[in-house]
Amino acid sequence: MNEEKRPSADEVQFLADAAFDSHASLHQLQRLDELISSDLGCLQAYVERIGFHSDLMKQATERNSLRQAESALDRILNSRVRREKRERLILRSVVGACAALVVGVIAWVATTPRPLAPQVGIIASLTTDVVSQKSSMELGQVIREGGVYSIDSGILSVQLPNVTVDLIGPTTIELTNATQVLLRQGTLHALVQSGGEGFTVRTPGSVVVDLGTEFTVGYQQERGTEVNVSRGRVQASLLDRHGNSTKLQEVTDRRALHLSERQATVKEVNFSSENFLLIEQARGTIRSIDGALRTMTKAPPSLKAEELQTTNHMLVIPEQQNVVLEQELTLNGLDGPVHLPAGTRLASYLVHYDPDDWTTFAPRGAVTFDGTIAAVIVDGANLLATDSIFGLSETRYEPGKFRELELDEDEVRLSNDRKTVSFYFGVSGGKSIDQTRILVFR
Amino acid sequence: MGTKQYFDPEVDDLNDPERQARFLRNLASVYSDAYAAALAIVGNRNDAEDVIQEVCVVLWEKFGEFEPGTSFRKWACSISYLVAKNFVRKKRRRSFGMSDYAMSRIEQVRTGTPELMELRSELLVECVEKLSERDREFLDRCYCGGHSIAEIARSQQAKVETIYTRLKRLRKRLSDCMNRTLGKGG
Repeated sequence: MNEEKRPSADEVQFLADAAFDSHASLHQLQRLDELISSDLGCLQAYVERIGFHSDLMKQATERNSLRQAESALDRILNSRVRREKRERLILRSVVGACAALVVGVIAWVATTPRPLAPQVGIIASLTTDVVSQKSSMELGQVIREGGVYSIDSGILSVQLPNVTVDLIGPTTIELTNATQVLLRQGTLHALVQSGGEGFTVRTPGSVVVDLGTEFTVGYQQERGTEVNVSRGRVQASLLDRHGNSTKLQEVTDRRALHLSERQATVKEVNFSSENFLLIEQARGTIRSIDGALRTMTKAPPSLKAEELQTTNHMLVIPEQQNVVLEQELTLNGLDGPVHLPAGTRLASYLVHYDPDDWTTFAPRGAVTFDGTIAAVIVDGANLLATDSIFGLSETRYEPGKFRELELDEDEVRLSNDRKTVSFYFGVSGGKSIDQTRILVFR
Repeated sequence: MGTKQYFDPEVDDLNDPERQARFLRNLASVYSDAYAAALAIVGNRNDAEDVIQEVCVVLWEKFGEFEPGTSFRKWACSISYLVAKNFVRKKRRRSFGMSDYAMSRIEQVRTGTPELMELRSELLVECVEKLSERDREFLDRCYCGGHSIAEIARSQQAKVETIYTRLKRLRKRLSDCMNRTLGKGG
C-alpha cells in the first residue's frame, strides 16, 4: 500500500510546487484537484507541502525583519558614538566648516538636476521574444538623445521623426541625435520616409548616409560593416582614424556592400533579403503598436483555439503583405460593407487573442499603420472567407466561427484617419479566442 | 441569535486610536496563519497576496464582532478560508479554480491537525538553520518581498531556469532533512 501511495505523494508535492510558483498548467491543476479530492494521503501531502511554503515565507519575512532591526540598531549605536565624539570635534569645527563649505559647493554642483536629454523618439513596437539584460524596454518608452539601447533577442522598433529603426537582436545602438545612430554591434533595419533623408548610421569604422530608402546595416568587430539596400539609395564610406570619410560608394536597389575597417576595403557582395523578410514578418507596414499588443518574429504554425495562447496581451501578426485582388471583394467590415475592386493591392494583419488560465485582465492596445486601413473584419464568416486570400500558407487557421469578436463585450475602434485600430478584448468564460483581420492599402 | 455585537457603528468610532492599536496587535500576531490558510486554498502565492489583503479589510470591518477572550487566530483563519474560497469561486468563472469539495477537505485537514503542522514548522526552522548563509539568503530572496523568480533572475543576471533549479534543489534538501528527522522521531 505504501508503494502505491509514495509516487502520488511525490506527484502532489511536484504539483503543489508548480501551483505555488504560478506556473502549473491547467491540466496539472486539474490533476491536483483530482488527487486531493480522491486520496487522503494526497490531501495530507498537499496540506503539508503548502504549509512548507508558507513556513518558508514566514521564516524569510522574520529573518528579513531581523536584518532590518540589526541594521537599525547599528545606526542607533553609531549615532551615539558620534554624539560622544561631537564635543571633541567642536574645536576642529571652525577649520572643518571651511572645508565643508567647499565640499558643499561641489555637492551642490553635482546634485543639481541636469536637464534631461532631448526626446528624439519612442519604442514603437516589440516582438514577443525581445529580451534585454541591460535595461527594461517597454512600448511607448521615450528614447532620448545620447541613450544606449541594447537587446539580446527579438526585434525592437524605434520611431524617430520620419524614420523607423528596427533593432534585430542581439544589437546595441547609441542614439547620437534624431538623425544619427551609432551601431555598436548587431544589425539594424531603417525605413526612411519622405523628410527623413540624410539619416545616418555610423559603425566604429564606417558611415552610411540615407538618400531616401529602406536598408539594413550589420556590424561585428571581427567582420566589419555590411550594408544591404532593399530599395532607394544610400551612400556608404569607410572612416579613417580621424573619422573622415574615405572610399565613398553609393548602393542602390537590391545591392549590398561590405566595408572592412581592418583591411580598409570596400567591395560589393551579394544582396541578402533575409533581414528584410524578418522585419516584414514581424512588423509589415506597422508604424507603431501601443498597450498590450505584441508582434512575432516568426509566423506561428497555428492560430487555432488554445494552440497559441496569449497571457495578458494580444498579438498582431503580419500575414500576406502584397496581395493584388484578382476580382472584386465585398466584405462586411467593422463600419459597414466594403467593396474592394479587382487590382487593389493590400497587406493583411491578424490580431489574435486567446487568453490562458493565467490571464488576469482584459488587455487594451492599438496598432497604427503607415498605410490607410481598407477594412477591419470582425465577423466569423468573413474571417473564414478571407483566410485563403490573405492568410499565411504555413499557418493553420481556426475553422470555427467562434473566433469572431463579440461586439457586446469586445471593443474595436477605427480612428478617423483610418490608420489606427484600437482594441479591448474581454475575458469572459467559454470559448474565448478573439480574432480580427485588418486589411491595409499598399 | 447571531453574533454578539461588540462594535456598534452608531457608537464606536473606526478612527478610535485605541481600537486601531488593539486590532493591529491582534492582526500582527496571526497574520502568517491567516496567510497560510489563504495559500492552502488558492494554491499560489500571487493569488494568496490578493486574498490576504481582502482578509485584512474584512477583519477590520468585522473586528467589532470578535468576542474578546476567544481565539483571534481561529477567527481570523476562518475568515481567511471564507474569503479565499470566494476568491476561487470567482476565479472559476474565467479559468480553473479548485472544486468546493477539495477546498473543504483542505480546510478540514488543516484545522484538524494543528499539532502536526506546528511540529513540521519547528523542524523546518531547524533544517533551514543547517543551510549555509548564502543558501538562506537565496531562499529569503525567493520567499520574501513578493519578487517573482523572473525578477530575481534578472537582478542576478541569471537564467530563470538556473534560479528554479537552485530553488528546487534547496527545497529537496529541506524536505529530505525534515523526513529524516521525522523518520528518526517516529
